[in-house]
Amino acid sequence: MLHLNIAIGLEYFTLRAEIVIGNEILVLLGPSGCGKTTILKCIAGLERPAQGFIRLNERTLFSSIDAIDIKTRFRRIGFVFQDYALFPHLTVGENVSYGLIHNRIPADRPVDIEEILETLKIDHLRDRYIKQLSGGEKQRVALARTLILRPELLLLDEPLSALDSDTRREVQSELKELQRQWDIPFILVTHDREEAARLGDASAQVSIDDRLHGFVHIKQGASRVG
Amino acid sequence: MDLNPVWLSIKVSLIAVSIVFVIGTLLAVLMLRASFQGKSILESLILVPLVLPPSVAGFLLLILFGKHGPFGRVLDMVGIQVIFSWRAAVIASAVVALPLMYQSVKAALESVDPKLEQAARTLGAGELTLLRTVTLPLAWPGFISGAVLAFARSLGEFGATLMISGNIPGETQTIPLAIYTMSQGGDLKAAGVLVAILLATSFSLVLSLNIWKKRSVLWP
Amino acid sequence: MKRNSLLRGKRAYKKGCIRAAVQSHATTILMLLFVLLVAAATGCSAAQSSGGADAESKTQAAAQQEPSTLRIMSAASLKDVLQHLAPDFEAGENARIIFNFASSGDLQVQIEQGAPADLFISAGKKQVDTLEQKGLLQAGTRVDLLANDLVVIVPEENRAMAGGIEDLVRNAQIEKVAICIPEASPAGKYAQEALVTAGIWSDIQPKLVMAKDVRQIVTYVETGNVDAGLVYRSDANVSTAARIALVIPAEFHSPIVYPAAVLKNAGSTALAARFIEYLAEEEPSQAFKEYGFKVLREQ
Repeated sequence: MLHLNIAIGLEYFTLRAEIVIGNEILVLLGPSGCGKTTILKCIAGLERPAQGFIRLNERTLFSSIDAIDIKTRFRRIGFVFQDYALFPHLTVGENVSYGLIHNRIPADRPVDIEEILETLKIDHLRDRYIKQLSGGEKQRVALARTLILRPELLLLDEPLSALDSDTRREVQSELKELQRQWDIPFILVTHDREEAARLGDASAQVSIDDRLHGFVHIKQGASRVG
Repeated sequence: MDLNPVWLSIKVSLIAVSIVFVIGTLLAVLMLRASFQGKSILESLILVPLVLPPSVAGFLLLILFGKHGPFGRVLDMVGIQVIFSWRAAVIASAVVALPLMYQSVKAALESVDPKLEQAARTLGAGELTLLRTVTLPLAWPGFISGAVLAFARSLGEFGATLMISGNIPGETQTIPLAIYTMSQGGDLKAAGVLVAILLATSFSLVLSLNIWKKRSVLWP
Repeated sequence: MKRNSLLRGKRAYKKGCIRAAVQSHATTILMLLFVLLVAAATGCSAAQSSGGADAESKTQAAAQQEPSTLRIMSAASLKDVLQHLAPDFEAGENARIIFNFASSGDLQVQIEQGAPADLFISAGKKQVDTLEQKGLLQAGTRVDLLANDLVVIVPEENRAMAGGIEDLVRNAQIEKVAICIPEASPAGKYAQEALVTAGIWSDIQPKLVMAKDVRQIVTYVETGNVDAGLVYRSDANVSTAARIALVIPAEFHSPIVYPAAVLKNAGSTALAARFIEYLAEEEPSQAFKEYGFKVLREQ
């Protein structure tokens, strides 16, 4: 379970977010530049909120009051970046096993690499380099790379925006299926309403009102969209 | 034809580049990763040899490493003499080559997509690990570039070297100094030979670097 | 409460705006300052070298004449004394002198390549001989102006050189000796001649350090980086932290003579000739002696 309540100072306004979610898909919906990605980065520890707290499964990852700020590599959070951020100098197999080899805290029961490659249907791509992959394939590699470490939470920053509409639909169902399988919270950022409707178990609107405050507020079991 | 200047120049430049490789890399990493006050000032100090007249640079080095200078006195206590020895030539070359190495390395490190480094962090890599496994493998061409440019620049160092190395034939008379001495003394043929060697070397270094840059496909 | 925070926000916003504006224009402001500085500096130095003439031309409003220009190419070792004498001549002749100080060898090459100049004063005969052979001098204008001595200078506190020139090799406390590059400058050539005549040229090699010009040798001696240097007496005079330990007898080297000549393509021949005459007058001669030179045309 993820529980957070933070305030982030952005360039032109302050963003406040309160999120409580269980093992479901939360979709953050909103126009570009309103801070959705920043929320993800704060959860991952790549950026720091101005104040507040972030708790994941009884561990406090961040607390401005108690001066706690766990470094990214210890948070056990997976992050799928907007353009996947796959390592161009490594093969698919090496990309996926990167976390396994270099992780400071190895996962308790790491997933077998063959298993994860098969699950995501990329085992035949093991020795290919990133340049040779299609958008959909890259996305799967990115997912494999994070899931192999059994993260407690998965963050996805506009994971489908680079895909064509057919692949998109296919991947959307696969993502839903994946989340059910792994049974961890997924937070997904998108600007596509339809996608939000299709994917999200719960969704939150990030908007900027006249008084220059953005709000994200979602509690567990909130209105199911769709 | 006395080719001593050639061997001397090569030796001096190789040593200078090795020094500059290490220092330039450390400084570039420091600039990009650490946070502290006065970054602009430090960077300007590193780059200033690019625009400083050689005589000024030579004068400053003379003051710093001379018998009564801050560095000179310390080194003297350890028994190391800088001024009027090959070490002076190395230092002069290193000072003018450092900005080139530093800029190449910094640009190379900056060119690595920060998202890749962030991804590595989310996958559990520590800072040194990600430097070693992600940043450096992607940035190493810049290091090579920097080293080659630094070497070529070292070979041609004249003004500051002339001021602090003493122009001692066989010991500190590098190629540019020898060319100057010979041409001023009227031995234009000998000077011409050295000029040709220097030109050919620098030119082919820069040319091969450019060709390599264009052609290299670092990963498929 | 909300209104207050809004106002505070507006003020902070304005302050931020001003700071942002200054920051974004900081580069432009700095560049403008830099340009102004350079302009001021060049303006000042230009005024210095032709200061006298401007003041005088104002008071000579009645004469209503533009000061005529005299271009002099001179050996660097004469820079201090000639710049000292220039205003006097400029005032008396309603002239403006433009100096070009460099090594005699460089000047010779410049003249051969057609650089515009009226008068050439060299620190060595070789350069003037070459120009004469190439027909670049006006016949009959060549004159030997000055002579100089070669001296050994040491740092102020040193008590060396008591035993004459051989001390340079015999005295173990003298570890480094500086001379100019013999191939590249007359001062170096004279020094080499002196050391050869004294019979210590080969023995002194391990101690020898070669400098680009005489001023550098003075710096080396003043900073204690060398223990002795061979320079002209006129250069030794300028220094306060180095003293003349030994004057090398004139027989040890070729005569150190400063010839001057009017150039063939001179624009102001008469003025150049008058300058040569002026240098033989009493005040300039006195000045030369004070600066350490020997005057060859006593009046």
